[in-house]
Amino acid sequence: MQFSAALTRQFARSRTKGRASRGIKPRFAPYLFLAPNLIIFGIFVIFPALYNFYLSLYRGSSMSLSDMTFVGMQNYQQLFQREDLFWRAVSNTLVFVAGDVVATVLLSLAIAMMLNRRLRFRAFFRSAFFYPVLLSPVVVALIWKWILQYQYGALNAMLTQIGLQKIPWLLNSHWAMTWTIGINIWSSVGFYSLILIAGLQSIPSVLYEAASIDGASSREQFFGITLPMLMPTMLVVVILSLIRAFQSFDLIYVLTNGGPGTSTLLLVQYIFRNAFEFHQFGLAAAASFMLAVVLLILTGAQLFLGRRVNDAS
Amino acid sequence: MATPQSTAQASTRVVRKAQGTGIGAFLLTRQGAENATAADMVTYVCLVVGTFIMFAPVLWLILSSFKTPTELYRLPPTLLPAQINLDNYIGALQQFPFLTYLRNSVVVTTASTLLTLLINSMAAFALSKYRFRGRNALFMTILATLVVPISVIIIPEIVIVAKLGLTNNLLGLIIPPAATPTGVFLLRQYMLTIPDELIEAARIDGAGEWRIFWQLILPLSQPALAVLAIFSVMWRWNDLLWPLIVVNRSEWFTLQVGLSSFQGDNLTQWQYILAMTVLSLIPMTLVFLFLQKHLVKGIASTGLNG
Repeated sequence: MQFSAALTRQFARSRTKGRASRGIKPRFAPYLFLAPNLIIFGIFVIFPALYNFYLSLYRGSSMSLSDMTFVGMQNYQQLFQREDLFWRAVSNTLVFVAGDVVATVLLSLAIAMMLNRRLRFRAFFRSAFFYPVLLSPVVVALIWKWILQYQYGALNAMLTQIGLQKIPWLLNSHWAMTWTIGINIWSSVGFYSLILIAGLQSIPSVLYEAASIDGASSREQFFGITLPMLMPTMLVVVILSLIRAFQSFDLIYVLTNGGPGTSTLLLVQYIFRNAFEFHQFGLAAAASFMLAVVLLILTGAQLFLGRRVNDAS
Repeated sequence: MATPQSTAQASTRVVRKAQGTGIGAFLLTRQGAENATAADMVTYVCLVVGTFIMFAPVLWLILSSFKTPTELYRLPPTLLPAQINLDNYIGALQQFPFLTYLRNSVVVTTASTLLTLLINSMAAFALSKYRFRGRNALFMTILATLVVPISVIIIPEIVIVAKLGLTNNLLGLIIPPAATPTGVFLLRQYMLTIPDELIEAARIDGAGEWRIFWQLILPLSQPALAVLAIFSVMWRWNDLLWPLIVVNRSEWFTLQVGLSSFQGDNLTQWQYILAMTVLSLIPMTLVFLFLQKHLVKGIASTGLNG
């Protein structure tokens, strides 16, 4: 990074003639500079986060608290005891998260290892895997809806060409979940591969040279050097993909809208549906509070484990 | 990365036999002293297959968008359209308020990105170049908002946005997302590397705080600002959940919200849906083609998204 002398020379040339500056006093300056950001955070992030718990103690279908009745922990009670749909969403989410995170970590590691080798067109390949990451979830969903379409989609067309039956991919609960996970991986694996490539490149090559002098095989080098040195980065990938998976909404909303039936209804969509379709704001707030607790635990675990792993290595 | 000599020699013998001159030798030559190994060939095949999997769905979308409905619904479908006709695109513009959606998306993305760059750089400047009481606490607070999951704020947001009169108002899509903790973090890290002496010199020359920020810090932070701009364009253009909460009248829908109404099972106007989807992915594809180097560098350095 070069801070050109020319730039500062130009700045000095346009200076005011010498006297103490008018305008913001340096003492107040930092607060003023921070103000717009902090105000927006306060109004639209911090306040709602706190207000959410407060809201979860009320019940009613209006949006203003004065029309709602205070019910204490009854919303939480209802979630635990009578809300079948909530537990359906929970189990769907757990299945989705498990499948997504495991496959994402393994695949992105494999891809990163391959993209780290010194091959021709390496930069092109790295970009190629990254392209789907840039697409919006809505676009991704529509692309795959067209491919998986029962009657006219490309996938079923290929099946019928080789003599097999068409499969109602997104209309079958098991396939819908599988494809939801698969499409989510398709659209995000390039991102995690990049993070892992950065991690791989930070492993000092002297380690590998020393190992090969000692006669270690590729496999021994992978498990003995690569994996342990990559642990902190792998942890980042695991936690990032976990947090993202738990909050998945956009892609699934357009791809299956929670269907067929409720087989791909995840937690954020459950919350969304409660608020927008059933107008049960208190209940939705309670469910989102519970999801937030889970996510806070995960984030805390990352910070804690991250420090442990960093200290260890 | 070095591979053990013995394995390299053995596989090289195999590979040398298999490859002749020409394409094989060209593809498998590595930028380095090592000779190609069998592992490299396998890697190459995997990468080519992977690239196909990444690009093919989008290519299929684009090809399909040029097909007439007859071609679309023919079994088995043809690979290429008979001709590149723009009927679907023209029809889509006529049948759906696509231009309205496009206008909204462009306005929101541009305005929000400019606002993001401004207020995030101001905050980063304050956090990196000033010493003041509460500096660390405020920085931690901003970082803490990264931790707040979107799911916990969507319900109250509906209430807050309504109370502030921002429902069905593009300002509601522009202002709230402009304060991003990732942006502040990114810019602060970069600004920390700007030598303090430059600022001191400017102060001695009598420049005010705002002039220091506007005419010294901002120009010097261009690389980081560029990365944040690309991120912000991507986030705002692709956003769905937030616009769904803020707008419910179709004249204020962004592109993503407009397209998301095609979530049913019985979609019949695929020709228009395909055309609109292609149009929606053009901006990010342009970013990909021309700016992906910056994006890749930005992500590798922060490891964050969002």
